[in-house]
Amino acid sequence: MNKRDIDIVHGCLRGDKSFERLLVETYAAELMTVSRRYARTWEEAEDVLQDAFIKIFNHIDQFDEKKGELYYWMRTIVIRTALRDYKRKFPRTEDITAAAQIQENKIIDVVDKLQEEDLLNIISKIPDGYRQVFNLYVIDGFSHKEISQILSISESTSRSQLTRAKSILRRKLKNYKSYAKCIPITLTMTLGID
Amino acid sequence: MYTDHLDNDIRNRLKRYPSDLDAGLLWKKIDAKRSATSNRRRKWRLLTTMLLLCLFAGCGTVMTFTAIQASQSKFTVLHHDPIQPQSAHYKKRLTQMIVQHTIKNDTKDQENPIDKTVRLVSEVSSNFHKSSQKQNEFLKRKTNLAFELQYKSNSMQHIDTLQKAPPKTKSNIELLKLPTLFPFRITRLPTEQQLYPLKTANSIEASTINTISWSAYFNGSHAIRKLSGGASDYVILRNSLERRNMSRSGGLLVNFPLAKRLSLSSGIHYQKTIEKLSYQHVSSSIIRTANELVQRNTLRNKTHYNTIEQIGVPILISYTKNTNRWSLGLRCGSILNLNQWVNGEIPAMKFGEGNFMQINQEGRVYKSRIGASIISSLFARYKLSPSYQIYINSGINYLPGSITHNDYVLDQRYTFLFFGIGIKGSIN
Repeated sequence: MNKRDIDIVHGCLRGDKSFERLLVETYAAELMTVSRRYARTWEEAEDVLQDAFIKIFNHIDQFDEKKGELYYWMRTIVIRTALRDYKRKFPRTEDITAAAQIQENKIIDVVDKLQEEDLLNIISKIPDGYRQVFNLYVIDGFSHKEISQILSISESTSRSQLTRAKSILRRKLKNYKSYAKCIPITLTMTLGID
Repeated sequence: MYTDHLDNDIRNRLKRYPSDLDAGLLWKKIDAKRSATSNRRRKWRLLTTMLLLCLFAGCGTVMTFTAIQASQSKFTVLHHDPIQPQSAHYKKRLTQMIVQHTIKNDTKDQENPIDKTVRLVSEVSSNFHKSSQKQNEFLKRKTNLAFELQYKSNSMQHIDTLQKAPPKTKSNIELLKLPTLFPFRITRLPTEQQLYPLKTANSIEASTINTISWSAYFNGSHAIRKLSGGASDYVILRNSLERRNMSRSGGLLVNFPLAKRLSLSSGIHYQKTIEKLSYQHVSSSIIRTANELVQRNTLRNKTHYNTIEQIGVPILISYTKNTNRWSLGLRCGSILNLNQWVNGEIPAMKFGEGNFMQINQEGRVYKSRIGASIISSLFARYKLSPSYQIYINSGINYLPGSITHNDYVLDQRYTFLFFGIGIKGSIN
């Protein structure tokens, strides 16, 4: 852990508000991305992030620098806060059984061409339960066992939901590719260019 | 194909991608939210603390009340002397029964003294239960408990035996464990009233409350004086110059029980009322100057304290409702005032000329003997011990007759609003 993080943690432990503010200013943007991946809307993500930071300040004494970086510790808190917030708002996970089977396409190229914001937007459109598993497994690197504990589901459910999440993502990327192809035509028509 | 490469690509791109966020604004929101949460938490803590305090206070009150009840005649705490609340007659009767039974049935001389005591008390209790049909049900339920207590009281005499020779039987072991396992165990005993319903018709309270008793008290009173029957100017003058201070009274009473809740009290009552008289005294002097004599008037503030002391014999009837520790009641009656002493001075009728009457020199103003006053009060007594109670009382003492002579120009009547404390003790 770098010296800046150590100073920030010690400052927060003392209850120094300037260090707390520094912590927010340093990590808020990155943690907001994490929060956005789990939340449905920007506002929801911001609320989750606020709650997560309050938890971080209240439990900063539990942070162990030997176990990992400060960012990952905070990221875990943000993820758990987002999931808890979701569970509180929607006690039952949405049951989506009919996942569309989409033929395999060359979507990797599409991803390469996408901006991060577009990617986040596409991920945010995946149904909640699938999105959570997808985020936890693919982006945040949790195993299916850990996911099953976090979400209180079985490992097999976690696997199947990941599969379905990927299927939906493929479909959305494919649609996005079609949409992207249409953009030049639409622009031409709008601007009246021959 | 959706491959791991795609996963890696997405992960790498979103891993620490910073969103476009105003961190300063976010910090302000977080800070405001934390303050609100902190205030809410503080309020909850305060509320919880208050609730807990109320709960503890309530539990304490209940426990205290239970302990008070337990220490009364119907309950006995094991670690106290279990026989204490009972009368000597009760103890004597119980002892006699045990002795008689022992003489009749004492055939097992080699029996362990503890076993023997246990057996005898058990047999006596069962015999007694058979002879008293009305109390049978009650005593059946109490047999074991009475048994334990009697065992304990007797076992005190065999303490050496207990230490030297550990009990062998299972019942003895269990009994010996009782004080250890239940150090504050509250055990019921049949009360004297339940054992002797005819003798103690006035309940067990008769031995502690409804016996002849004495009480001493001290009251502080606010004296309300009423002047009437004279010139209004003079009444106004006196009311403006004289201020009624607190009156104090005290006395000693002997209480005779008339019925379960009624008692007659009489004794001696003393009351001292102080009135403050303040006025400006005009004195004149003649000063000789070089050419003439000059009269000089000087004003001086003067203050006198007039005292009215009365002594009388109260005759009071009390109605008392007794609970375990508390007694609430109403007392009313009369105080026959035997004598009074007055001291000080009062403004004369012709005050404009600066005249004052010395009260003690003007026997024609105040009566030397006065009639009776009517007294009524409410009291609450708290039982400190079987023999002593403390009490507070509050009431009114009205003197309908004037304390001045009929030929005096003013009638002077008093009403005292009093509040006082006292102590009551039984006379054995």
